[in-house]
Amino acid sequence: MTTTATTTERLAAAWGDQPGILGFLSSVDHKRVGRRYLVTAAVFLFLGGVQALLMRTQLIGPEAGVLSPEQYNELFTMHGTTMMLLFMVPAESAFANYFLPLMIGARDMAFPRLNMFSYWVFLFAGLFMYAGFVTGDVPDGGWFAYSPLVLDEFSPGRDMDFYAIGVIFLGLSTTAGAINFLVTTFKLRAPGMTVSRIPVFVWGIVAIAFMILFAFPSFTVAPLMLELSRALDMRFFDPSAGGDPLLWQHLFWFWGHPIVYIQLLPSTAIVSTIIPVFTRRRLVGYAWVVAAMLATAFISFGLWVHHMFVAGLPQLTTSFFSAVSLVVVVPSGIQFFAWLATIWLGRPRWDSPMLWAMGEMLLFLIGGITGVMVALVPFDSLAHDTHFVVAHFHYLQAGAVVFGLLAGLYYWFPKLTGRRTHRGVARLGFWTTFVGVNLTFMPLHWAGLWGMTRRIATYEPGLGFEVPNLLATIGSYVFGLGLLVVLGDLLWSWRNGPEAGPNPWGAGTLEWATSSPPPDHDFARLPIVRDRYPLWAGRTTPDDSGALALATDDDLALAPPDLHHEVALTAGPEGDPQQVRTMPGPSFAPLLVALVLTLLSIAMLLRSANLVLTACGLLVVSVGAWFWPREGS
Amino acid sequence: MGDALAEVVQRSRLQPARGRSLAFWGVILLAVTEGVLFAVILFAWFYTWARTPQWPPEGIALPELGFSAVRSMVLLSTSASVWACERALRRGDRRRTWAWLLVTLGAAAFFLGTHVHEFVAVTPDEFLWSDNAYASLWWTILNLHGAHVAVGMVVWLYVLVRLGRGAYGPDDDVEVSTASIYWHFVDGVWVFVYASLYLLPNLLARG
Ligand SMILES: [Cu+2]
Repeated sequence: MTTTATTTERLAAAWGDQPGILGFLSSVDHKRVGRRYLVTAAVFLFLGGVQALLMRTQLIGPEAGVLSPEQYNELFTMHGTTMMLLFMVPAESAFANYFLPLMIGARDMAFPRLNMFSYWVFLFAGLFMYAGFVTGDVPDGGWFAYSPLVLDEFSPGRDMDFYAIGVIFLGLSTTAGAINFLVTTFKLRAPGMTVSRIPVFVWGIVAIAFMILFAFPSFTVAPLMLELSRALDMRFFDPSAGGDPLLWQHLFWFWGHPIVYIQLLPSTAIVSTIIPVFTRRRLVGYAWVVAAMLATAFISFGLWVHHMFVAGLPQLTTSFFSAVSLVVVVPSGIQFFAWLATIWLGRPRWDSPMLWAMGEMLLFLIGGITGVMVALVPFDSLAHDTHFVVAHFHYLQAGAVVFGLLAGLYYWFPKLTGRRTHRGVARLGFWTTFVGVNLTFMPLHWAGLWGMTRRIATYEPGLGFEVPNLLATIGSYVFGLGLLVVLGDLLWSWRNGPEAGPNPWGAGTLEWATSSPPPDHDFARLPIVRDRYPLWAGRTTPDDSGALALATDDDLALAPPDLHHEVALTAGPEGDPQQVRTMPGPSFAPLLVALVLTLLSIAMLLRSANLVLTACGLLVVSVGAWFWPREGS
Repeated sequence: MGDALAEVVQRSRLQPARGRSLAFWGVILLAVTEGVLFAVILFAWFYTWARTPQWPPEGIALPELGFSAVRSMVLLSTSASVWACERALRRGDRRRTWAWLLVTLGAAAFFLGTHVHEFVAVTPDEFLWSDNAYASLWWTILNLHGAHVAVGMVVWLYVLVRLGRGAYGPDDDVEVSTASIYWHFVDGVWVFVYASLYLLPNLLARG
C-alpha cells in the first residue's frame, strides 16, 4: 500500500487548522504551541537582557548615576523573574512541545487543548507580571522575595502583588505542561519504542516534568501565603505573631533549587542529543546518562538549604546539605564522561550545533567547579551574597543553559523552518557570544572574592572593583551583540537560507523522518520503532512527502490512524500497541479559560471580593464549555 | 509488530477501548502534584508548630472533636457512594447511578456548608485569621481543602447535567471514573488535614 496524494490531502484536512485569525486562536497543534513558546520566550529573553544591560551600565564604574537605587531594585527583580520563569522554562517547553511528539513518533500531545491552554496562561501571566511597568508598581523585592522585605510594611503599593499572583498563575501553565509531557511519553510512543529506545532528550523532559510536579507546589503555596499576608494581613512570616520569615526561605528554595536543574537538564539532554549526530556515533553510556538525569532530578530535592548557609541554621543541618550538594556532582560527571567518550570514539564534525554544544560543556564545567566551591559551608560564608555567586550561577544559566538552548535551536532550525543557517554568520555569532559571556562573568568572580556584594546599586571607588566591573560591562555588550548576530542569522536564514530537506544532519531520531517543516499531521504513516536511532538502523528511502520512510516496507505496510484525527496509544515499557483514539480538535475554550484566569488574577490584585466571585463563576462556565461535547461528536 | 498494530486498529474501531484512558493518567498526575501541595502546606503547619511553645497559642481552645468527627465521617462516606455510583453506571443501572450521585452531592454540600458556616459565622468570635500564625495556617489549610471540595462538587454537577441529558453508559464512563479518582483524592487529603489540624494537637495536649 502506498501513500497516495489523496491520502495526504485527507490527512491535511483532518489535522489542519482553519485559515486566518480564527484558526490562529483556536489551534491546538503542538507545533504551533511550540513555535509560540519559542517566540514569546525569545521576547522575554530580550526584555530580561535589556534589564541586565541597564544594570551592567549602572555598574560600569563606581557611583555611576544611570539608575536610581529603586530602579536598580526593580530591574534585578524583574531580570531574575523574567529569566527564570518567563525565558528559560518556557524556552524548554518550546522544544519539548514541538519535538517531543515528533521524537516519539506521535501526531500530537496527549492533551492538545491543555497544551494550548498552557501557552495562553504563560503569555497572560507574563504580561500580568509586566503590567507593573505600566501601572508604576514594578516588583522590587527580588525574585526570591524574602519576608519581611516584601510585606506591606516595607513594600507598600501593588508591586509585590504583581509578583505573587503572577507566579501562582504561571505555575498552572508549567504544571499542566509537565502532566502533558508525562502522559504523552507514557502513552503515545510509537509502537515498539521500548523504554530503552526513548530518545535521551525525551528522557530529559520526563525528568524535569517529574521535578515540576514535586517542586512547583511549593512555589504555589509560598506566594499564596505571601499574597494572603499582604492582602488579608495573615501572619505566617511574622515573628511577633508566632510566624517565621525563614519558613518562606525553606518553601522558596525547596522549589528554587530544583528549578535550576529543571533549567539545566534539558540543556544537557540537548547536548546528549547533538553529540552523537555530529560524531556519527551512538551515545556512549545511554543508560548511564538517563540514570544520571533521573538521579539529578531526585537529588536536587535534597539541596535547598545550601541557599541558606548564612541564615543561622544548626551546623548539622548545613553540613548535611553541604554533603548532598557535593554528591550531585557525580551524575553531572557521568554525563560529561559519556559526552567525552562519544566524541573520542566518533568522528566529530564541527557544525554550528556542535560548537554551541561544546560551549555548553565548557561553561557547565566552569559553573560546576565554582558550584562545588560554594557548596562548602566555610567558602559560602565568605562568598554568599557577593558577585562570586552571581558569576557562578550565570555560568550555568546565562552560560550553559543558553548555550544548550541555542545548540538545540541551531540543531532543529532546519526542521522548524525547512532552511539552513549561514555557516559563517553562525560561527561569528557563536564566538562573539562565547567571548561575551566569559568576559562578562569571569571577572565577577574576583569582584566577588574581593567583597563586592550583589543586589546593591553601586560601589565605592578604591576597593579594586573598577577593573572587573568595567570588563564585565564591556563583556555584557559583547554578549548582547553576539545574541543579536544569532538572531539576525536565524531571521535571515528563515527567509533566505538554502533548503534543508528532511534530514540535513543525517540524524537518527524520528523527528527527522518527516518533511521540514513537518505537515500538520506530522507523519503520513506511523513509524514502528525497532532501534534507539531508527533512521540509522533501517533503510532510508524517501516516500512521496519527501520524508524518509522508516525501517522496512513491512513495518510501514499500514498507516493505521491515517485518515482521521486519531493517534495510536501504546502501553507499558515495551510500547505495545493498545488502542486508537480520536484526539480533540481546534477549540476556543483554552483561550477563553486563560482569559478568565487573567480576570481572576486582576480581581485578586484589586482585592475586590465581588470581582473574584464573578471571575470564579465565569471560570466554572468556561471550563464547562471546554469539556461539553460538541454536537455530533 | 505490523500485524499486531493492524489488529489493534481493527479491534479498537469495533470495540470499546482497552486499557486506561489518557484522562486516567492525567488525573493521577494531577493528584500527585496536588498531594505535594497539601504536603507542603502541612509542612508549614508543623514547622510553625515546632517553633511555638504552645499549640494552639494562648487564648485559642483546642479544636473540638465531636461535630468535626461527624463532618469527617460524612465526607469520607462519599468515597463509598461515588464507588457505588460508578458500579451502578457500569452495570447499566441508571436509577442507582442517579441515586448515588445525589447522595454524594448532598453529603458534600453538608460538609462544605458547615465549613463555610464555621468560617463566616462561628469563628470570628473565637479567632480571626489575622490574629497569629496558627490562625492564618488553620484557615488557609481548611479553605484550601474546602476549595477542592467545591471544585469536586462542580465536577459532579457537570456529571449530573450530562447524565440528565442521557450521556454515559457501561462503555462510556471515562468522565465519571476520572471525576471519582479526583474525589477520592480530595477525601484522602482530608484524612491528613483532619489528623494534623484536629487530632494531633488534642492528642499531644492531653498526652
Ligand atoms: Cu541550589
